[in-house]
Amino acid sequence: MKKSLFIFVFCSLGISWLSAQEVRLVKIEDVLEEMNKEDDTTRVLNLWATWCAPCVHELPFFEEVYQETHANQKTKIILLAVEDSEGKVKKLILAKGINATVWLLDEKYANEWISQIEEDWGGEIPVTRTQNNSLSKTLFHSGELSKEELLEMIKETSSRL
Amino acid sequence: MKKYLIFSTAILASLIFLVSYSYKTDGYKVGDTATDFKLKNIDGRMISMADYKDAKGFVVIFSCNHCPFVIASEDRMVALDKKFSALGYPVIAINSNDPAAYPDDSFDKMKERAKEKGFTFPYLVDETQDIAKRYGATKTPDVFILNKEKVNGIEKLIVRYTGSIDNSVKDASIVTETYAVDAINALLKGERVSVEATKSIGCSIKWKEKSEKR
Repeated sequence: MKKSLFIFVFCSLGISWLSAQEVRLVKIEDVLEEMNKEDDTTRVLNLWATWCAPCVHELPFFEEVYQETHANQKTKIILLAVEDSEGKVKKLILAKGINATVWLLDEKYANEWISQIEEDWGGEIPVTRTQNNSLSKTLFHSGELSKEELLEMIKETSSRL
Repeated sequence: MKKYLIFSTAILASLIFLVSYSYKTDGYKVGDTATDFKLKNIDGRMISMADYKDAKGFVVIFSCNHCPFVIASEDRMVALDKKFSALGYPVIAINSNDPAAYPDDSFDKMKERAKEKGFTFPYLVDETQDIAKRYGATKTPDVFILNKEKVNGIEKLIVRYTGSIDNSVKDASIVTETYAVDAINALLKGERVSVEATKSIGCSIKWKEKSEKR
């Protein structure tokens, strides 16, 4: 009896550990600090939400690109969920098998932070920014991306030309 | 040779100016003159702002059926219309989404949604998406408050506020700034709108052709 209880507790702990996909709660300052790091990494910042169908549709492309690029450490993908709840984000990234970095923006009032991400952005999602600070290159795309378009953005931002 | 150089530099400079100018006029900013439209309402009638002889202005809201941020705003849209329509600032909602991308945004579903939520205002379909493009709407909900003003003796619709209804679209219970209400109240008093432009998160308008990289 005691043994089976032990196994049960152990297993449920194991399952909850496996499913505890990390979602970091961040403030806008944390996002800007990450994006403004002075190095030769190309950062990909995707703003999305679980309630936004085109956002959810393009998520697997970001995961595929993450799987193909994270080993070289010159490309870093951050999937920043906005106007969302931690529970819903965790559930969705588990269901979609997302291993790329997922953050949740913990800000109540969007008018205070939207322009800090991109001056000309009206607040529609999804949007994606690619940025390489050592090359002083940045691109901003509004709307859903295909995998090819995402790769093209990363390539353009990472190229010295 | 020198003359030629100056000439070509001038041409180049004016070209650069033209390109940046056309970029800047992409969508309405506060102070711009808004275009009127003639769009089909859910009751089948064609609606223009020119039809509203007694209106002092309009609260034009780009909307749709499917977007959770619109759904969270519908009661506030109705409340705005109930409060300000009689005072001369009626709400006009426009759906510019491509129903092929979202079947929920079809004309028939617009009728259903308006009935369910008891819309007191017209809910128009912008089939060509031309009005959303002219206004520079990018998302739903997206609000443009227009004011009838005489410019050199000609009556125009001047954009006096762009942005969101208030500062918490998703959750009405934590609103601390009522931008749209404040803007209309200022216009009613003949005062300058204190917060003229705000930003909020919303669902991107579903364009018929794919959006361009910018």
